[in-house]
Amino acid sequence: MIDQYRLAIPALQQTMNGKSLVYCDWAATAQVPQCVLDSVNEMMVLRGSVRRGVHNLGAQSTAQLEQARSILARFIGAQSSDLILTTGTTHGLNILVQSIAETLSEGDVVLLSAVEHHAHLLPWQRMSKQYGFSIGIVPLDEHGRIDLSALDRLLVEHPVRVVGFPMVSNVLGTLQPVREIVDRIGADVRVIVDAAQAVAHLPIKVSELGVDALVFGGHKLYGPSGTGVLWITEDWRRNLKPPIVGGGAIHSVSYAEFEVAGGIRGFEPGTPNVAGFVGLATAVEWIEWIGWELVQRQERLLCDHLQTGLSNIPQIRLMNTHPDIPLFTFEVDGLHAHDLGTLFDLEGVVVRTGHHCTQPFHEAKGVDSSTRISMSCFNTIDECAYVVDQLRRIVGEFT
Amino acid sequence: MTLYSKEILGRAKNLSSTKKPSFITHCYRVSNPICGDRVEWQIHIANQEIVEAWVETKGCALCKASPSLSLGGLIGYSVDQVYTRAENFLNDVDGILGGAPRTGEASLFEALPTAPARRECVVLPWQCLKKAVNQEG
Repeated sequence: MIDQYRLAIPALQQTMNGKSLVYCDWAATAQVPQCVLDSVNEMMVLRGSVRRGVHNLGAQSTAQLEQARSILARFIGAQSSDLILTTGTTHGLNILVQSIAETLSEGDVVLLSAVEHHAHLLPWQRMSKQYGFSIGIVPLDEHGRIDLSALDRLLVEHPVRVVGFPMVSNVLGTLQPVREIVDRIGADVRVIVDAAQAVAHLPIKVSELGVDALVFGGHKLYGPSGTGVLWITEDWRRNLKPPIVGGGAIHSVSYAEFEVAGGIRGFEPGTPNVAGFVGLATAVEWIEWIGWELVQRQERLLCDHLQTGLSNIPQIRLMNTHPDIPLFTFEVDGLHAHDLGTLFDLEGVVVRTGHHCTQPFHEAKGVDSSTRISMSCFNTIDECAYVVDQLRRIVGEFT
Repeated sequence: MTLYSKEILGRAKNLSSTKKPSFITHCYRVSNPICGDRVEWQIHIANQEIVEAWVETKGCALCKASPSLSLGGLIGYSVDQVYTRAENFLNDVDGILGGAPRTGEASLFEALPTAPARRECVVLPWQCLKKAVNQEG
């Protein structure tokens, strides 16, 4: 059944190095369906400047952008008025962290998970040096989930103001029990969820999660790159100052000073990527049309096949054994991840190698570089078998 | 033509058999933050001439094979000669990627155009060597 949807993604019909493309790097960047390409193209043909000018073309583009915002808001169960459009997860997290940091001071503590992506860790590190607050790291349990007893202890021992973590880890593929974590945290502590790796794999409703801010990028959600979403509760946002200022986001300006526009508009200076957001909204509607049930059923199948196949190659050391999405990260004894990545590439298999922007986590695990196979619901069982066969052959030949 | 030729794999395996200098005047370490490859050169230079040289790479086969080319031809050469040699190697690598005729030491990596993203792995040890010999002792 998934085959009909695969056909809608032009990239999956391509070859790489003379072999059929077996794309296994969805966790980095998803391939794009034709409907998204079409909607971006259509938008680019005739466009106007949004939120500026009086011409109808501008009004049309503004309406298209706001319609896209509404679709994205509905997708995560939020209000449009709380949805800030960004250029991606990194941008969203930087905006958020810089805004929050101004409200923190020496003595305050921000807790992050041990498997935090650099996109979330680095902004906090930079801001902590500027504002004097501390960063605490919450360890994971043996399944790759946040160690709840350690979290409880840290919450008791320190004046924690913010807790942040990835909803799904980009290295371990484990889904964090978000609601359970939120319920343990007092109402005076804010919770930020990096949903970059979750958003293409499961339905998300911010009201059910109970978090204060949620961030994701469009390019992992079958949309164009350079698009993203920062959702933040209205009562928190009201007390934050936008870190970037400029045209289209002001209430008034004089030669001496300015007043930032209220609401989300103050957080969106400059001209937004309208075509990108129109494309992302199309991607969201497309995935909703396919349906989460099919998405998750296919991904569970892929997960099981990969797990069985990879477990049967003795030279492989898996960094995760029970992911919630079809994502496996591993080392191979005697074969560097980059060499494996290239040898895979020559067979048409695209994987990610390196430390996947989680250098501290890799160092803590004593791993210099790892290989990550990340699939989406648009991969097939045959592809799983091909990947495992190629891996077995390469490992046999080069180690 | 394959990037993982027997010669490259052999050189990568045997790099660790070289001996550390008894006296070090120049040392330089670089890393590629994207992939975690690390290279360190330890060199003994006297009177602007290489007396001993040792390199350690923690990384992929290409990153290990690449500096092995230089090791045999360093001792007794002047700093300027080594620097020029490193520059030539780096230029040759880019030449190979640009489709230029495959000449010089870099021709070992003639299959690099099949995996152009691996350029960094090949050039990192030589970039490090250039910096190592270019320092004040």
